[in-house]
Amino acid sequence: MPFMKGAIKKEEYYVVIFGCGRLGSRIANWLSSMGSSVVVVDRNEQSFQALSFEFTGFQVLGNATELDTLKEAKVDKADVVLVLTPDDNTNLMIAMSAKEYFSVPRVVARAYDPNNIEMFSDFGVEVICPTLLAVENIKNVLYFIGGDER
Amino acid sequence: MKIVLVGGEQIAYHLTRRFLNKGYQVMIVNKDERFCEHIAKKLRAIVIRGDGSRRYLLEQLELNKNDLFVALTPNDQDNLVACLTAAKIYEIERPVALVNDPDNKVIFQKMGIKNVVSPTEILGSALEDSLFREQITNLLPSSEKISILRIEVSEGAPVIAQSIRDIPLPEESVIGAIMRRDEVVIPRGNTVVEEGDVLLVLSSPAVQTAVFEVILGEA
Repeated sequence: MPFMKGAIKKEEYYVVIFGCGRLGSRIANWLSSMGSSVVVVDRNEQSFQALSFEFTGFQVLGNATELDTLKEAKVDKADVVLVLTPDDNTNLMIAMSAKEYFSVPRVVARAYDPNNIEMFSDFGVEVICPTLLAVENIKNVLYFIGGDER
Repeated sequence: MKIVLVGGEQIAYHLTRRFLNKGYQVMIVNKDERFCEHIAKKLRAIVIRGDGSRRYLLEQLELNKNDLFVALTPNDQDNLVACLTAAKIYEIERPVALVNDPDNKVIFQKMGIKNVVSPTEILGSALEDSLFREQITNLLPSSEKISILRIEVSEGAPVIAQSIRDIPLPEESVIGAIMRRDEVVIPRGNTVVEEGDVLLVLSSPAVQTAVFEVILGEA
């Protein structure tokens, strides 16, 4: 496993992923194949079908806005928590619980609405904003087509 | 001072009625179009349709820092974000949040939302109190981590004429004092319990049912 930025260097990282959708399941498969110990949490059992045969981690079925679900996933032991459910408010709450209550060293969350980024960062949560990423990408594509630098 | 109620149908409706009657200005924010129409027709409150956890919506409300902001939706995450956002934009000092999962109370308090109400917990302790038998009074609210129980030793209780050291109480409980007629007896191992004594028992809530059984017998 390559050294992970900001986390303590160790043989095997313990990663908890909330949301096993298109994004969550891919990251889970990848991290698991890289040798991390992975737990995925989703409230819908069918979501786990997206996990591949490479995935050797654990699945936790439950609503992540209940503190018990976070305890069941052993968030307190996690080196990294990835919060990837489709709802910004849910992500905020999970991320903040992981950071403030369970003192997880690295918490990365997805926020669709760029207006929410500030609130995440106020509490020390790192944010991935697909909207902003897409905006940047589209800008790049357009510049490329236009060809002219102004 | 305005009262702002975000989400929550029946509770929001009845709270609005109550506060309007007391002469307050009430503002209701709700996602549900039908509910908003209904309220707007029935009550003299300001009704805003929309998601009260969104920054752009809250920014339009023009609140003051001493307004009372209350989040009542059935989703804890939405209540948390609504309160945090309102506190941030308007510096509202004590926003009130409803939490459905009582365990989430700690999370809210860690994030700076100190006024947290859990209907589940209120109902739960009301139900628990009604389960208690009448000789027993819990002197602390049931939400505390310890129970101080006042137990009257009535006729036929198994502990009558037993010494304290022979009473098989659970580990996490202790008889702290005995009120006998007008006196207080601090119990020692050889103190003998009499009929009519009132025992003050300290116990962890988890074992209190066992305490009742030991002192008063099976229910």
